Amino acid sequence: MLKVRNVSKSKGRVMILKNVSFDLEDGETLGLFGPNGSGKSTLMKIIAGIETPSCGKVFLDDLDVTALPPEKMVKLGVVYAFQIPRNFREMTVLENLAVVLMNYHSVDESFKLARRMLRDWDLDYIAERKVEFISHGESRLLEILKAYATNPRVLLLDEPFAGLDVENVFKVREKIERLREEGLTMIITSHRRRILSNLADRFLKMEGGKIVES
Amino acid sequence: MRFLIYVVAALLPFLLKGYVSWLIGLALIYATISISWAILENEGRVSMGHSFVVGSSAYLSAITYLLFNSLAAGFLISIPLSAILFYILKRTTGKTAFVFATFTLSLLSYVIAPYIVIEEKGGEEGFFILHDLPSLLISSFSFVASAIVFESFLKSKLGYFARAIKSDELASRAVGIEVEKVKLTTSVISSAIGSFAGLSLALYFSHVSPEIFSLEVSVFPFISYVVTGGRKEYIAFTSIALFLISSYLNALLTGAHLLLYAMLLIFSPKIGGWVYAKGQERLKV
Repeated sequence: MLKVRNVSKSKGRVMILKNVSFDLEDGETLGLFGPNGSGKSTLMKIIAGIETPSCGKVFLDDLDVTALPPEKMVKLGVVYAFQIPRNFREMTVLENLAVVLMNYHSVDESFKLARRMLRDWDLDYIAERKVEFISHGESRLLEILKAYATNPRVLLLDEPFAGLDVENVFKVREKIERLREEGLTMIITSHRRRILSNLADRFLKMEGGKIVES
Repeated sequence: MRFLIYVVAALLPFLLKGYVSWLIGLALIYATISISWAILENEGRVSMGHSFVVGSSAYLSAITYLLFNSLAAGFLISIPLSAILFYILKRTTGKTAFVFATFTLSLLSYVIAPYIVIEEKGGEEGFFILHDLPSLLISSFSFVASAIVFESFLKSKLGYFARAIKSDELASRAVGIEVEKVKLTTSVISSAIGSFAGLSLALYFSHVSPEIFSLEVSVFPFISYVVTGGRKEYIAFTSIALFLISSYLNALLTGAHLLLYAMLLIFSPKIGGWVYAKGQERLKV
């Protein structure tokens, strides 16, 4: 489904990614782990079109999608959830979700659907709150939910457990497990493999911008 | 409810008489300028030279009227011209430099305007538009029409997308919002309303001069916005009130209204912060 071929990325003299290649099958969850600075986030951003590779290609269903802008990648079904949640600060939780759904539905329908989704994810109690007044855990869930609301084919979750306490790790994990059960294709990154156990079908270890273990 | 107040405000000049009626008519034009400004701000672009959109429209209207005896031509030229210019400015300058670029452009227009002379008319004295159109009706109509567009815009997909872009452009793109398309559309709407206000202003005075590009016209919407504490849905009412107060002050002592503007700008973080905090209190569930 998704093929990454010889992707490299350099910033100035620093090589962040060195010839990274891997395949992702339909319905598969890939766990990408490695220490901080190993290039996991950069790789995810390149797949999502947020960053462009210095060389190499990304294919989706054999279609070359290298360096397509993120909004085009979303249309193709590849969505990235940021490591540090980037929710829309001026909006309420409900509006945050509804604005994503507005890409596909009318304003009224989007709000209705957003309410339903928040209820499904046990977030309806904060629906009317502005995002600056919600906790980090809630913010993380909202970030994932926003990405999920685009109805993705491939969901890229960048360090979804970073900075969360045990209770929130459990909550986020539970939602990701649910997405996995739905058969969603995902790549999840973390700096620890243990946290991804039982979540991923396959693991890749990154270090110094390279895949060192698969 | 707000719609009703818009209509009442637009009817006021007809219910009142003399100078007050004239003044409220002018306040409606300034409120239209503020609405035009607020649409752009909704998307995160703060224009400090919004007088350029207003002024260029007014000037073009006057010049085309003089050359072709047609007011519509000026309006039809100024909308796409302003929209294209705003779009190019955004593309080339980015979010932060946009403020500087629009301000510079407005200043440049102010400097150039006195030298625009057509058939020995214009220059420092500007251009006269001798017409028998109902100016008060035009200003009221342009106010209500822009207010309706503004309210619809805030509740539309485009309005929500614009707010998302203002919050975080990259995050907006990452959830599939077509940022450039939204920016172009908001530019067109904003400059269309600004152009409409410029035309109304030209017709209201039957005259345009370089003062139309003044800093005062540019900062007025910003000050109105500051007073609302960021709640732009109230910018039209704030603008009307601010314009009337500043006109009163100016009548008492020439230039005193500028002191009010300066005070509001100096204390803007405190005023804006206080009004914002009040608004937020009810959102803390």
